[in-house]
Amino acid sequence: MRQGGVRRVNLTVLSGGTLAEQDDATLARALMADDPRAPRVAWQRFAPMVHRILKRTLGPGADVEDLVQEVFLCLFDRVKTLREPKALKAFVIAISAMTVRAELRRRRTRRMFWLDVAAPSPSVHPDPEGREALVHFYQILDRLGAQDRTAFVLRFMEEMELTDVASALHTSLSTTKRRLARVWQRVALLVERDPALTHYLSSLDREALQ
Amino acid sequence: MRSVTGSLKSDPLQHLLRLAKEQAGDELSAHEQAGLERLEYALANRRRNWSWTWAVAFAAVLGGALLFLPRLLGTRALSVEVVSGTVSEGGYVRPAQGSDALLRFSDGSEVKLISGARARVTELKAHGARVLLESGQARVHVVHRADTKWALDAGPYTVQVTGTEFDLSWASADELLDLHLRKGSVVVSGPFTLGGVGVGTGQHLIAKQGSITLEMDTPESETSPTHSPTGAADDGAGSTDSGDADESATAEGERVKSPLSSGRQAANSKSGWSAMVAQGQFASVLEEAEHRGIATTLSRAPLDDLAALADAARYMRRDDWARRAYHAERGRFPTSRRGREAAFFLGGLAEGDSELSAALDWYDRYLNDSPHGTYASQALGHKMVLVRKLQGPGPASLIAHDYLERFPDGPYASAAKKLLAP
Repeated sequence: MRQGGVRRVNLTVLSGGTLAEQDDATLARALMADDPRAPRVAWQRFAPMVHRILKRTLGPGADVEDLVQEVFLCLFDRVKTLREPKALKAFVIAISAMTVRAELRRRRTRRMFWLDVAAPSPSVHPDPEGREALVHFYQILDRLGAQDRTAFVLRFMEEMELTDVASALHTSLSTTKRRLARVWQRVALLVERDPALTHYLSSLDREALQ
Repeated sequence: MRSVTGSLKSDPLQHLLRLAKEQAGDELSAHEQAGLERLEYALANRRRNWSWTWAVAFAAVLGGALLFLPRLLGTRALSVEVVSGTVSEGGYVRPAQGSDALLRFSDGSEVKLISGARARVTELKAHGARVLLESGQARVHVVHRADTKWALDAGPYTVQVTGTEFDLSWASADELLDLHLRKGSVVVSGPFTLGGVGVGTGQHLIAKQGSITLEMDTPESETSPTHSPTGAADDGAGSTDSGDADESATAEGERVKSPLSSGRQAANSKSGWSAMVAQGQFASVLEEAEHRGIATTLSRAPLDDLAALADAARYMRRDDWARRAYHAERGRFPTSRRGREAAFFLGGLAEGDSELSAALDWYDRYLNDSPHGTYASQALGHKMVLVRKLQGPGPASLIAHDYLERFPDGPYASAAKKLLAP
């Protein structure tokens, strides 16, 4: 905001400590007030989670850097519309979920029109058979719709509470529960019918019994 | 990581989930950490670009004003005065208690808001205006001139006007548009109109959730019903489509069914009740159901009859019966298209009762079961509106993103764009 030719910078008054030590609500208010320190603190606080959600949803070796940038730029654009500052983390998760769903739909469209979808880089998993199993597992997840896949990852990989998953996907709790039950059953069935995964899992069983 | 404890037969999926979690841990690599610099650079650039953008925009506006000032002075926008009504801060006009409000425009046109109606003037130009009818009924008289160009919006519909008199009402809870053309002609565009439906003098158009019906009100109308895909207003003597043209009305009061009807009531000619609903005999359907016994009807009637009963009850504002009928559809015919669609209508009923959370749940169920269903764009639009009310514009804007991606030309696209506007 400019006054008399001087750009006035809004700083959030903190009761004690640095901005990085404050809770999410204070950070949200700092972002809303255009506190110049706030974006960096928001990145440091939420970037690991955003990377994790994107990578776990999109699969092994997915290049998520551009998508992470999208998430944070969207956050900084929209944070002023956040009604409850303490819901900042949930808001970041919701933006991440929206971003990853859009990416999944883009991928699906490219596949439909036979446009090249970059083959995923190999995962960093140390076990080669585990890496192979992950590729097959994510091929199964490719068969889910974007919303189902995101719900599945948030609940069963991120281990988020049902209420948080519902909030991230903007669906009701009951709808989320039904969706997750259905998706779990479907994925379990597809895993059971995948020959490569069956072979891999059987070999693990045999090792465990030895 | 190999499992060393127990058999995996009971939880193979859990093992795969553990593998998936391990491949994306909590620590950021150095490359990923560098994303912060990239972000800060993008933010700094954005601030610089905004400053330039404002400067360029200001210069453009100033230049444009200087260039067009002579024209602007010569062709001023219409003005409007409100008689017997109040105007709120947002520009909404409401009639004073117990009376009708009159919007009187400087070109001689008038829009009368019948007691209880609510409207807003959204645009004033030299040759016309744009009025949004939020709810209720309006009587519209637009003075025809060579270059007259008016529009009235009601829900997702737009009535394009070049010089007419008509009555227009909009009920958002039922998504019911009712247009009675008293003089002249208009073109109505919106959902299921395929670019525009021409309505002529003496015609009565009703649009309700997926069906468009044209009725002849006068025995000797000046025009035949027209379907004008180009959306251009005509003088009522325009061409009709070949092949799929509307059936012409040949007798007084004969209902003309638009080929655009794709909703529930046009779908089935087998059921007597379906035919009765298509002819507007809602009360008769309810009487027959009552005569048969509601409980018996709900438990034994075929799907077509249940659907017709639900629709008739909804149109007659017998929401209790409508709910029971929709629940019966879902309970007895859960995988049928109508059974799934019932969730959408139950959402509408809940919304009408201001049970917003319940409404949201129903729209979610419908979108979950029928993501590409007939009412998907409306359900997602309603959801966006409800999330805005319940959770604020921030979360709603995320749905708006989704909406524009899936339905860029949908009925809620402009609302979604407003939510996303900076």
